[in-house]
Amino acid sequence: MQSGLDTALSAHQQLYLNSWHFLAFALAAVLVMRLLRRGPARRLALLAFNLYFVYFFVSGWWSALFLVGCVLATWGVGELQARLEDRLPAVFPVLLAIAMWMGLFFIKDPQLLPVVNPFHYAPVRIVGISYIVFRCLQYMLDASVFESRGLLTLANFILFFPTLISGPIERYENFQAWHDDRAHVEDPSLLPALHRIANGMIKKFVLADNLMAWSVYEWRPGDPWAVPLLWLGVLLQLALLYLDFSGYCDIMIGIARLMRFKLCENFDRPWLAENIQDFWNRWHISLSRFIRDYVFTPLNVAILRRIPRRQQSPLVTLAYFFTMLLIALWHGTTWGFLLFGVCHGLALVLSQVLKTYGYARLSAPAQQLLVRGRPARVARAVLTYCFVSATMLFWHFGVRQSLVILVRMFGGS
Amino acid sequence: MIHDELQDIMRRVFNNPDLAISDDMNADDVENWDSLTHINLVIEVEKHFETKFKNAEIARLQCIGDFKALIRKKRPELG
Repeated sequence: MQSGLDTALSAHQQLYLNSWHFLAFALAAVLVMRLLRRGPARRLALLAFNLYFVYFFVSGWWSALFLVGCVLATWGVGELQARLEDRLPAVFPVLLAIAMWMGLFFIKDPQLLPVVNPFHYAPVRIVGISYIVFRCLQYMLDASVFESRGLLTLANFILFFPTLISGPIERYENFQAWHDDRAHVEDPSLLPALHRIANGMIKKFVLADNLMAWSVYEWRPGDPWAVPLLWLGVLLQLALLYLDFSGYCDIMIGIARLMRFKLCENFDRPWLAENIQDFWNRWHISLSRFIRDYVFTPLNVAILRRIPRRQQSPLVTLAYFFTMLLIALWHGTTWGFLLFGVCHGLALVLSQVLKTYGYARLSAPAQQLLVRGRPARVARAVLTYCFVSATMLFWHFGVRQSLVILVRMFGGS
Repeated sequence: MIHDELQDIMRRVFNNPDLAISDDMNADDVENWDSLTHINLVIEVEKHFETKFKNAEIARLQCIGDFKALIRKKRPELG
């Protein structure tokens, strides 16, 4: 399983989340940030902590220079947007977003279209680059609506160590309010934050790590696994990733809270999701919201503003599908991720069609039985869980091996 | 004035003639307020108040109070 942290650690093997090194670092960051409540000292101290953390997740001078370039370019484009917004062509933000997405795909996969991919010749190795690019893009596109802007705040926003490698993808204004210590602290006590960190540790290092032995990730081609064991291994995938990823987020949200920062939540009981749209509203929420605000909404606003009403429906459906594909490809540019995106895109379109045309036409008793009734809701939640967990095979095993596993689950050889 | 007009638009978009809006009302409080109906609402508000919102502004419309504040910013003469 690849959580952001596991990926990071394989790069350097120095800063484990459950190491004394990280504990001492986090403790120092918490103490200093609680002592320095305001002013430039607080911001500079945070930058120092962020840079120390970043050091362990960036490989080589070229990658470090690239990261510095990212921060400076983001600040420059943001200033351009904010100062010249009305004079810039309307297509500028669209081109900027496309360029950033393409750049991200090229960075993540240096073998992708090698002839035109500059990172094929000069690979950049920065753990958490997907999250960094999203924070940069958000700042560049929205700089004109920020009340204030500053290079130091921006650098801390992009490099903020609790969110650096696996999110949550925070909004700049929210971060800025906590960064400048302007936001209202609802509960100043330390206990809820410590409780959150302990919960995260248990989820990630006790439950996820120990349940891993039962997961399908242990399966190798040719292994004679019994069918029930294969089912267990496949259906355990989503639970494991939830425990690992949400555990990681709990730890980082707790540490940030101790530093007087309130990060957004990333999970909302995803096992209760009754369809795929509901699932993505509950799972990796900050990613879903980012894609909604910076891909889905602009696409649909353009469609609804410019396209005649009778032609809108198929285009909106395509926008749903495209959004899901993009979410999948953001995780990785392989055929497996593409197929995962296609499956989820089709499921999303199906759930929209059922919601718009199917359920509404049922009689009231039929709606009660098939839509609103508790058994129907539980059945939909179970089906959604199984669908998501099964399609996650494509992430790890690629298309061919995933199909082999799926066939074996149903008794094939 | 903005309140009443916005309420009429919302009643039309959400097909709910009894809907009574308040500043802190958000997508959790209204049935069928999902990402697509949210965009429909934005487009209807733009048409009615003869204005256009930037994407960055749309992304920050979380509740009815945000809609009112943005309409006031775009059309200050409406108070």
